[in-house]
Parts: sequence; C-alpha cells; structure tokens
Amino acid sequence: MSGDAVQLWSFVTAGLLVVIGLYAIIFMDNMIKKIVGAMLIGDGANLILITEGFKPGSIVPIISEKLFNEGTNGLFQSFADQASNSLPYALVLTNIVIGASTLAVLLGIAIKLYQRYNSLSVNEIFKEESQ
Amino acid sequence: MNSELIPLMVVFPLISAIILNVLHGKDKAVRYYGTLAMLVIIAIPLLTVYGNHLFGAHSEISTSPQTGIQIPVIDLAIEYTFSFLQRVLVIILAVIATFAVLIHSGEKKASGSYLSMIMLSIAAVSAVVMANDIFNMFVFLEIAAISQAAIIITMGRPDAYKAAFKYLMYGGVAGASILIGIALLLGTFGVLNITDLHNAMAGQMSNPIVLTAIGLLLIGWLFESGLFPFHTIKSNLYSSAKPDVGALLQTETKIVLIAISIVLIRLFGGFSNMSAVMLGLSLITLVFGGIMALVQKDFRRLVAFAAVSQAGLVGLSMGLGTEAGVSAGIFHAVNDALAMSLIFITIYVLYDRAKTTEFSKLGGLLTKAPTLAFLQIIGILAVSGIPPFNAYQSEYRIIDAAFSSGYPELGVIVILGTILTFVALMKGFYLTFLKENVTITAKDRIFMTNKIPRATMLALVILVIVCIGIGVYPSPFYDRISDAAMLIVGGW
Amino acid sequence: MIIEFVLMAVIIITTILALMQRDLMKMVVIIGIEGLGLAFLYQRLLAADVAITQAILGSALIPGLIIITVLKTRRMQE
Repeated sequence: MSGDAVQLWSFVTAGLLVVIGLYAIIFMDNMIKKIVGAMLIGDGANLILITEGFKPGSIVPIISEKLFNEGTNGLFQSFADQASNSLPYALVLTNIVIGASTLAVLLGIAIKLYQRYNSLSVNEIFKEESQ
Repeated sequence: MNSELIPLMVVFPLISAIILNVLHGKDKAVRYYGTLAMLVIIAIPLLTVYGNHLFGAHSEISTSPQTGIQIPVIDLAIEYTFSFLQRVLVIILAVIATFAVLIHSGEKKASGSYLSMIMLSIAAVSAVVMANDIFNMFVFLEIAAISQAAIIITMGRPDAYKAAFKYLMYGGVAGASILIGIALLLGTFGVLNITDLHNAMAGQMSNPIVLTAIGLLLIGWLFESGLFPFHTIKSNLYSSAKPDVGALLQTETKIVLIAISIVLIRLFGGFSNMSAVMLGLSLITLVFGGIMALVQKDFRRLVAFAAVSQAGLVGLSMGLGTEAGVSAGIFHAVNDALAMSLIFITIYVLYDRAKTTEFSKLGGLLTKAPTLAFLQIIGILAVSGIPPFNAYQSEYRIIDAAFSSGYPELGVIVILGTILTFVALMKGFYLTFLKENVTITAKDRIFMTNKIPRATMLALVILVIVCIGIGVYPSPFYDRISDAAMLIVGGW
Repeated sequence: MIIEFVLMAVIIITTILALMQRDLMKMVVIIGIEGLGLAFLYQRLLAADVAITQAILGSALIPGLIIITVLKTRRMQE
C-alpha cells in the first residue's frame, strides 16, 4: 500500500535533513549558515515525530462539531479506530516553538558579535581562543 | 490525591521572571521584589507535602474481574513527583540562587532582566528534577539552556557572547538528539511516562531501536552535564559569568546530571553496557578536568575546570549502577555543589575588588585580605575531601561503592583525581595570596581591602556551617538518600 | 499519492541549494520555500494543526528574523 511507502520515504527525508543540518553546523564558515543548520536539525526531528503518528489510510484526528453533537459511544469508537495517533503531534507543536526561541536568541547573539568583530566568519571570530 | 503546592515550585519563579523583566530599570523595586521572591522560593519546598501531582486527565481504570474494584492501569497524565530527593535538590538550588540574588542586590545597580533569567533557570531546573515524564524533562532542559546562555550575556565578561553562542549551538544539537531518542522510544512503546516505560522495557534487551535511543539519550546527557567531549563548553560557561552566579550555574549542572542519570538508570538499568559507557566517559572527564585545571593562567578558568572535574566524579559514581553507587553519587553532588559555591563566592569577592583574576596581575594579597584567604582555604579543604568537611563523607562512600562493585582500581583513580583538583586549587591560592608578584608594574597595582560586604559574608558563613555540619553528622541526610536510591535501582 | 514524494524532493533540493548560496538574502527566501514545503507535507501526513503552526512560523516568522539579522550585518558571505 502506498501509505507505507510514504511513511518510509518520509523517515528517509527526515534523516537527510538531520544529516544536512549537521554538515552545515560542522563545516560551514558563515555564522548565519550554522544557525540555519541548527534549524534544519530541529525540522528533521519534527518530521520524524510526525511520521510516527501517521497511519496510512486514516483521517485527520480532529472531531468536527457535527460529530461531537451527535456523538454516541459507537461513533466515537469508530472515530478512534480510524484517526491517526495524535500524541506525537502535541510534542511537535511544543518543539517548533522551542526551536524558534532558540533561533531568535542565536540570531541576536550573531548580530552582537558582528557589531564587535565586524565579520560573520567563524574562523575570524574564534581564532584567538588559545585555551 | 493531588499535592497542591507542587506546580507552584515551577509556576512562581516563572511569574517572578516576567514581573522582574517588567520592573527592569527601577532599582529599588527590583531589589525588594527579588529578595522577597527568593524567600518565597525557599519556603515552598519546605512546606510542600510529599506526593504526586497529575496535571489534568485521569487514570485509565479497569475493573478487577473477581471483586469489581476499579484499579488504575496507566496514568494518562503528565505527572510530577515530589519526595525527599526532590525536596533536597530543590532546596539546595533555591539556597544557592538566593546567595546569587542577594549578592547582586547589594551592588550599585540592580538589573531586572538578569534576575529574571536567574528565576527562569530556577523554574526550569526544578521542573527537570520533579518531572516523571520524559518529554517534559526535555522541554525544561531546553528552557534551562536558553536561560543559562541569557544569564551570561546580560552580566558577564565582554566576550561572553562567544561562549553563549557555542553553548546554544551545541545545546540545540544535544536537544535534538534527546528528542530523536524520545521519538524512537515513543514509536516502539507508545508511552512517555517513565514508570510505564520502565515496565515496558522488561524483555527488550537486544532491540536495536532501543539501543539507538540509549545512544542518543547518552549524547544529550553528556552535553547537559559537561562531561568528556563537551567539558570545555561548560567550563567556558562557568568562567564567562560573574563568579557568584557561576556558583549557581555549576549547581544547576550537577542537579541536572543527577536528574537525567536517575531517569537513565530507571529506564535502562538492565543494560550493562550503558553503565560502562557512563563510567568510562566520567572517568576521562575526572582526569582531563584536573589536568586542564593545572595549566590555566586565570583563576576563574581554573575553578571552572575543577568544577567540571568534580562533575565527572559524580557521573562516575552514578555510572557504577549499584544502589551504593547511586546514593553516594547523589550525596557527593549535593556536597560538592555547596563546597564549590564557597570557592566561587570567594573568587567573586576577589574579582569584585581587583577587577581581574589573572595570575600575572595578582600576588601577595595575604597581608591585605586575610579573612578572604582564610575562607578560601576552608573552601579548598572542603572540596578536596579533608575530614571535618562534607566531601570527605561522600568521597569515602564513593570509593566504598567502587570497591564493593568489584572495581578496586577505580578507588585509586578517584583518589588521584581528587589530589589533582586539590593541587590545582592550591596552586591558584598560592599564586594569589602567598607569592609576591615582582612583575606587577605600578599602574597595575591592586587596591585590596579586607572588607567583605554583608550579604556575601552571610552567604560564606552559612556555607561553611552547612559544610561542617554535613561533614560531622552525615547520617540523617545520607540514610534517606540511600532509601531513595534503593527505589531507583530496585526495579532491576 | 505522488504529491508527497514531490514535496519531499522539493524539501531536500531547496535545503541543499540554500546552503550553497553566497548571497544571504537568496538563502533566506529559499529557506522560506523549504518551510512552506514542510508545512504541506505535515498536512499530507494528517497533522492539520501542526501544519498551520509550521506554515506561520517556518515560512513567515523565522525567515523574517533571519532577514532582520542579514540587514543588520552583511548581505554577501565573504
């Protein structure tokens, strides 16, 4: 079933995102590119979590108003059988916000470092770290 | 039954952080509110009753077939636990943070945003200690990292920005590593509560996904505790801050080390390889930290590396994996946080008066500041495990645990590592107080007085009394830690 | 069916392209496209609420912050 293929390739995409982000953090010289690498690693982790909650051939786990108003035990049971797992989605929502805050602080530090050293290159700024 | 005051330990510092940020700029209001908030923060863990707190939701219950009694099967809620261990760790955190806040309030200008970041880090580390849910722990670890970077930015050396940048970068990668480990565990078992995961881990010893998750969680643990590959990052953090809040930062790191180690041992205690990795890397940190402390030319960096080395000793004891090892490790973390704070605060007084801590600019200060020298010697003896002080009791127990686990060589290495720390600290003391520095020019001369401000003196005296007290009567304290350790390791 | 694979390919290609740029403004725009593609993919993976959040944060807010940083520093990588 193609749903399983979607899940498999989605994990592969998430893994590739993490690897590309790690490459950017380690090997890129510009500070803003390193920060974008940190953002990409976070995106890869989020995609892994969301793919885990996905069930091939299911429905979005949100109850509409009509379903709730006429909900009896049987209807909720069939909804629960068909919907995808919604716990990982809650974790991802929190993590997106955490990633955005860390990114904001990192960008602020980058601006301050530029004002002091007049360069965004990591080799330039960190070269007098002798100890 | 919900214990009602437990969330207040996290919520009240958060609200205080917001209020202090708004009050930034109004000197008197920041000072008064800061002191008042710290008194409340110390009072809350003293007043709280032991218990659990379930946030929202309910237990999934099933009915026992014979008697019809309803029994809880899984707790579908976020759970915070509060027992003796959490109370001790939160009180120690609050006390050392109070010292940092009081010392700052005694200075010329009180900065509201700096105090608000201290409050935020207190809230985050308290939540890490209390959370019984692995995702909650991750969220508050990230918040703690951001708040610690913000602390050294607002009030630190001019090149604190570089240390903060590296710290947040590595923190982002380590946080993502922990999150992917949690994702793998969630995908395999479907629960996030630590008690439930422990129950589900029973037959999974050779599951490759679980082994990968352990590896990723260990990388996160290594960064958050400042152990081997990441030891320079944490020591940069401690030395870039003003030393009074450096005491708070190193206390927070040791508490987070304990909290994550407890979670790892509860979840994965049956995997013997994990304990071996924890032990090996902590051993390397113990030795490397001591060696790097010996070659530093700046007193703050020397003490920072000594703190990292002692964190390695705590990790070594937790890595033994036995009940004796875990209880000795927790005891040593508490003792060492107190004793290191003593040294950090004396260095704060030095830095405040002399405006520098480099050895090339200091020397011969014994005649000018004898009280400070005396207090620093007490601190150095306390950290190195000399009898009437508390570190002696905990190091003795660590060596005892190492012997009874069948690794007598570890006892020898622990003693050697402690000797390294002692020698490094005594070198710093000698170069600052005893040796006359003949290379100081007239314009670099320091004006040092023997007067220590009131708040700082109070902090130092309280720390000395507590260190001697725990050193002479360790039993009431240690026995209850030992009971808590029995519950942690007991599942395996 | 094939739209998910197209989105995954778009995400990977834009990421690699963005990191190869020398002009930082172009890099920001391409990262915005990647964030939007990720939001689409979340919707196809049946996470509706997360898709809305990622669309706002990942394609408007975060590129906005990076643009402010690039304006205050320098535009071309040296």
